[in-house]
Amino acid sequence: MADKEDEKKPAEGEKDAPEKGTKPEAEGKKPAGEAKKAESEEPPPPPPDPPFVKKIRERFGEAILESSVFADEPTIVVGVENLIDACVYLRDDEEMKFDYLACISSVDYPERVPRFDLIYNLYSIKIGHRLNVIVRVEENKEVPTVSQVWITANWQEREIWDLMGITFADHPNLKRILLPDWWEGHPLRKDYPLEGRGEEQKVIEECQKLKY
Amino acid sequence: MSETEILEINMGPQHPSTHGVLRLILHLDGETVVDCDCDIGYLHRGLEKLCEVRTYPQALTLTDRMDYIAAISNNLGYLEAVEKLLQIEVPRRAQYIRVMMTELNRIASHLLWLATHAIDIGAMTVFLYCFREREKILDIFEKFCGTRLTTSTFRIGGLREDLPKGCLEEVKAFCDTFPKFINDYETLLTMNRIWLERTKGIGVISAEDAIAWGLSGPVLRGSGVKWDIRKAYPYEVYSELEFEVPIGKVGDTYDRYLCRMEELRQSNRIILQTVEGLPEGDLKAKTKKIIRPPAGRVYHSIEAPKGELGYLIVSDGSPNPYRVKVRPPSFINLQAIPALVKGHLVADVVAVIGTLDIVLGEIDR
Repeated sequence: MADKEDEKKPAEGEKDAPEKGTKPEAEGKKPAGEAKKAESEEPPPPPPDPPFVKKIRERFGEAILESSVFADEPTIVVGVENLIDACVYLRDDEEMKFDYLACISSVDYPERVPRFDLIYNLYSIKIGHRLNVIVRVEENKEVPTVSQVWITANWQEREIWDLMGITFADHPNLKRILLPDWWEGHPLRKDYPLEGRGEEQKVIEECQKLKY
Repeated sequence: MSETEILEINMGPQHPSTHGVLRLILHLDGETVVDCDCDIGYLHRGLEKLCEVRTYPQALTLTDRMDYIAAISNNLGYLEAVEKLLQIEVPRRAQYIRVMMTELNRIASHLLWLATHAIDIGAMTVFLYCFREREKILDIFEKFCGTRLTTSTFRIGGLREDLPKGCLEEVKAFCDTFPKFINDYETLLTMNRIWLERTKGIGVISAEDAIAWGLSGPVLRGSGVKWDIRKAYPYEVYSELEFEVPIGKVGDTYDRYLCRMEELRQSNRIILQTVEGLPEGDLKAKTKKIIRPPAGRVYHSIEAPKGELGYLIVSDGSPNPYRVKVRPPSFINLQAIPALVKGHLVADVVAVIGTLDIVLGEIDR
């Protein structure tokens, strides 16, 4: 991360741990391991799960690994193997009706063992509630595609494959979408340098071939 | 005996009607489109990765460049997400001015949409009329912050400085005369026989399909789904302002046109309310000199002119964001193009691209 050093303001080596006590962000997901959660002060009690999250827990039990609420947005964590069942249930059940998948995002934590976090933001247009579903994926493992559940996931998963390198099983068209087809590597990963790996030279060569 | 075969032809990336560097691979049977593939990525600049090496205030300037036509909305979405992460409250005067500028920016974006959509279909006068009004709005932006297009004028916690002298009067003067211009555009287009033939029944999508495809903005509302983030999850001062959200019936290009025209009127109404109700007060909440949000993750979305613009920001306590993911409305809307153009003619592809209101800067980031 040599580039980060240039942009960081000088001095202030202390990390942000003391500032956490100000708000119930203690409930938000913390990257870089749960070890940061060990504060000396008492964290405020976590906000209770909304009723529909309780219902999801009743239905799935052990499959829901964690749940939390931050800034009025509930989040649940499921395992990769239960993802499709959970998504179909969330879409179809009468009290859930999460028919709108707003966004799928991926985050890379290279030091953590399930390396990637996949975050699904769901809305219910009929009922009006929101939910975030997180899946933790290890490197080189596949995630089932949700494009049969919500069609909108098609391009979003292609983009995640393109930029982050998470493979989606049974995807109808898992090709690169934003980068050219000949690109190697997955640029949004933390170990990919910002300047690239010399692809610029290849683009220049390709353009020169077209000169006439 | 003649045989026909499917012709595969390129539309773009350099094409005046694709509104940017978009390449469509059309499979044609005669003039009818059988299938359509999109090839995007010509404008990919790696903005999400660049945000990771900037600090939070610096990354604001990157967000302008995505939807460069409606840059203020991009800024607003990003800043609101960071403010949600920091859990700070923006002062009311700043919120009112932000809403005023955001709605002006919505009008500017819709004017450009109307101009390009109309000229693609052939109505050249509308193009010039819309740009005349858009110039007035860009002059207001220049008076407010010095730039016309990529503004970066809001700050984390509020605004950088107050409205300059004369700006409020100029906004009011614009809003007082603007409804007459909307009537001019409607006179030219709404009951025009050619316009009706070119837009009615083109690119129809039902409400369930629109929700499944994840469409947002006027594209979703044209199909009859009453979903506007300003009403569903109000942000800034939208919960205090009175405005309506127009919805369509059939889900074709004409309905989306009517939705956006009505949105122009409603935005005008919102701006007049903010001008009249502008409170006194601070302009910026107190923030530290170096913004270090506590470790956490937030997803915040706003109603940009093109649809639902979402930002997922993950922070790890350092001055640089750990991950910024943008949910661009045009990217998700463009995905539905094969479903919208199947069975139509090539000329209708142009109309459908216009009605989706895409901007490639946002699609490719």
